[in-house]
Amino acid sequence: MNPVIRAQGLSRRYGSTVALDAVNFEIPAGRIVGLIGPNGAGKTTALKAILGLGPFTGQLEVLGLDPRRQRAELMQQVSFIADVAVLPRWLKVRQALEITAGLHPRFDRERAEAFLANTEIKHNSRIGALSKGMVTQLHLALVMAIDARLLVLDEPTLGLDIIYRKSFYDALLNDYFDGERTILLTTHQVEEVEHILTDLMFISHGRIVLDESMDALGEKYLEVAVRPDQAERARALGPLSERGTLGRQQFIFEGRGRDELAALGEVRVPGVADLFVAKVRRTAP
Amino acid sequence: MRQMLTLVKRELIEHRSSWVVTTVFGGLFVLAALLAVFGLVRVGVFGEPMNVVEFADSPERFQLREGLHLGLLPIAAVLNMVMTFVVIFYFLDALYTERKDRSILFWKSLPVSDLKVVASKYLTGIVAIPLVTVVVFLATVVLVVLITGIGLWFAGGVGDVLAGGPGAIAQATLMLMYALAVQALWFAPIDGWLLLVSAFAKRAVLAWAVVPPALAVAAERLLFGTRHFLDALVYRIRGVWELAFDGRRQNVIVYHGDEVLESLPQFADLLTPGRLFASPSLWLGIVVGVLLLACAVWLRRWRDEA
Repeated sequence: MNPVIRAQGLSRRYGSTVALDAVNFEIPAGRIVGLIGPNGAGKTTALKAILGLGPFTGQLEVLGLDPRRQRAELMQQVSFIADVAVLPRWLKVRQALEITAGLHPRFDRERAEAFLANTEIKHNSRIGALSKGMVTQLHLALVMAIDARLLVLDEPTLGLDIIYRKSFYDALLNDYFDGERTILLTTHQVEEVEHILTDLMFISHGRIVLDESMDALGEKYLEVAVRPDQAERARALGPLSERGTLGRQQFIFEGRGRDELAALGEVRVPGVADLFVAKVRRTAP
Repeated sequence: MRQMLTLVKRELIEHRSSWVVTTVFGGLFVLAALLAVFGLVRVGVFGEPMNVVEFADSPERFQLREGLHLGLLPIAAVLNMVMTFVVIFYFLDALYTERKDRSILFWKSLPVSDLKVVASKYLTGIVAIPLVTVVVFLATVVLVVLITGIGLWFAGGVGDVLAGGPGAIAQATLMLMYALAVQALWFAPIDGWLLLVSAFAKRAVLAWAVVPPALAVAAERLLFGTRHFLDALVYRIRGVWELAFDGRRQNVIVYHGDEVLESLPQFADLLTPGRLFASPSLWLGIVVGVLLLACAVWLRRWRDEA
């Protein structure tokens, strides 16, 4: 089966700044991919290229289409939430449903209504009068009612209370994701999405520095809690990173066998946030 | 088609002033008619201002049928002028506010091409808002004719206004629709320019719309000592009336003693669409308008909102 997204030599520069530096990646169908990177790493630039919102050089195919030339066609199959604040504030909730139904042939209004029925959002409210959490719920209701093959989320829970953040991802996973659709999301709150992702991509300074499935991650990257007297032995194995916590030195290794490391101390799969820091710090110029 | 109607509906919801302002002005005319009937204001159409009761007794009431045709046209002219300003500001806002409040990212998540979106905004300005204006005009003049007609009937048993009303309304409405259609075509380059500025400017859209043409006029004067661009602009703003209407027939009622010899209904003679359509200026303007609109579409497609 063809990948949902295939990028080859994908580049974009803003003046003398290279935002994306000849990036290659493929995202197959049915995955939930987290694109993680510090501010200015190129996340949003990559998403914009995929959504046909910005120019780029190199090759990029999304669902077999060219986002530059076939944007309107592509949007039949791709949904995105760019930022929670972008729903037009002057629309009423009812009008938002009507207009989306009038513009999107794959929008199922009943599905959106059913989702809204579980919230406190009223049809006659103006969107500008809703709380930020409610606007996000509404946007999610609109997007989840669209029968799309790819959903792109750029910092969807930015500025939301923890309760809304949690219910946002629960709804996404339980009511939307069906194993055939593909979700690509970026976020700062790595810990929140860690458990729902199937794939992880790290991006730093316009380059992809890690691109693994979550399953493979545990085989490739291991974290060992080493007693201080063993630290020199651990350093000799070339760790990605080292940090001290609670009388132990935590080392993250790439491509070392579990048995080899077990001699040094307790071995486990590193948290995404720690791995991210290790990887990105290492690749920083 | 469904998409286009939805897009136009979006515009009318987003830019409420596009129909609210003309409606308010229509309401003012109805209010004025009411006040005139109750003797609170005096209306002077010909000669001395008078209220409805005095008018019903005056000899001038015999010219009422003819006068009615003329009385409705100023209402049409005022509503048309108000609408023209409304449309100017609508075009300036149309591609600007969605960028300013970032809602463009929501609109761009829907499967609608930028060509279609810009077309919907242009059509809103040259078709939807004018249609709303025609409806407002119709509602206004029907009420004005009913109010003054009934007032005159009670004041002195004068039925002329009620009897002549439908014909006068139909004629004035046709006149308004013709004027609106003619303006839609003739002002294409101005409309295209306003939409382009709306798609381009980061702020101060009005200044962006006015300053560059003003600078161009000044530059031409300084460098070449000529004023061709200024003349072209003035012609573009005013020239349509000379082409689309026959200005020589301004004496609309010709009297011989108390007899009316000739009155306005040679209405068709006033309109000269043939002369307008034969004018190269019209077609040149449309070509320029389309080019400017194409630039606006390109900008909306490729402008990076980050």
